[in-house]
Amino acid sequence: MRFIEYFSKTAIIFFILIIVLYGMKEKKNVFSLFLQGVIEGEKIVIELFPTLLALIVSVGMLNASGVIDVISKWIAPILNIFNINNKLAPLILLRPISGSTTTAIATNLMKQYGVDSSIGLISSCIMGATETTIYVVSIYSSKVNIKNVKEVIIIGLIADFIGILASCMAYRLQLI
Amino acid sequence: MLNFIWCFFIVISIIFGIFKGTCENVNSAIFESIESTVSLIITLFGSICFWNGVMNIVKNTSLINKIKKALKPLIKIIFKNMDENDNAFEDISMNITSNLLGLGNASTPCGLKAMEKMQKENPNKEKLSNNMMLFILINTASIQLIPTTIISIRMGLGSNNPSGIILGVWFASIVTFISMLLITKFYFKLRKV
Repeated sequence: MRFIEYFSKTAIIFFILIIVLYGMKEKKNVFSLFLQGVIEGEKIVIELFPTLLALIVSVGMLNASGVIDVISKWIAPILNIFNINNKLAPLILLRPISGSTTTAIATNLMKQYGVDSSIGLISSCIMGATETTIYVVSIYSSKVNIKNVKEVIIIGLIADFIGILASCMAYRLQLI
Repeated sequence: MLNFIWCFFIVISIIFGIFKGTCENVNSAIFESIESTVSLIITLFGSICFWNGVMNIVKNTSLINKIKKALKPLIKIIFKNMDENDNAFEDISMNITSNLLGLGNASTPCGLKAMEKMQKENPNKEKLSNNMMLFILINTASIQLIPTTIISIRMGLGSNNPSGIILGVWFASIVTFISMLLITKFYFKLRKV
């Protein structure tokens, strides 16, 4: 397992090294390109803040009220069949619908149970490996005015669930 | 959608709080959450800006063409009757490349263009063609080289190895992607019959 740890700690720096060397080779002004991207990034973050604030507060309230515990208990029997920790229930339920809501939930889970605990790692993996399926389907299909998208959503949700199972498996295989 | 979710969350947690006697917790959760949003956004601020900077270098060198070229055979395998001469090909490959690099702002416009071009060739305008379905599903499968947002959240929360999830994310993404393709192809076969 040494290799996995080494890899995950060095993959990013090699990635950056290749990019910078490439830019140098092509005689690009790498520094100003970087700054350009940063300025664009600032806009993204500023636009992100309102949604994130709204949702983190509402998820925090939901968590404190105890509703999440109740829902987790309801779904526990289904999740147990697949050997998934029922603490992940709210994350799994809302993942296909809203990205910022699940970012808030995942952050909450990591804080509550520890970033490097099994729940923290699996929820990170789920966040990285799945998308907000229903949202993606709706923006792309509404662009071409097609309303009959049942099949796509069903296949997308099945794939998401497989992604969740694969994230749990990644933990068992000690990939994370 | 978010309008409903947000109102629902707030109303249900307050009502539940009243009945369960957790009102005080709900109250203090508001203030704790505000604080934790600010610290999260500060972490995200640095890292989203940083990665956007790095990816902007990729976007402006021929590295992006290299990635597109590498993806070509894959796109040809996934989409039936599609080659470089196809109108939508360029937009599809750009969309997948920007998804891979985590450039959400760049991938959606290309994706929407690709959808419009595919719709033009779609015989039944009321129904998604096979290629359109595949394209949407690829976009729901989240294939990202470096899951930057989640790594930075982990960093902000003081993880021992914030990027330690990379291999797991790749593993789960690839499994999801391949099973999505298989399910979709299987569905196409059923639809034909």
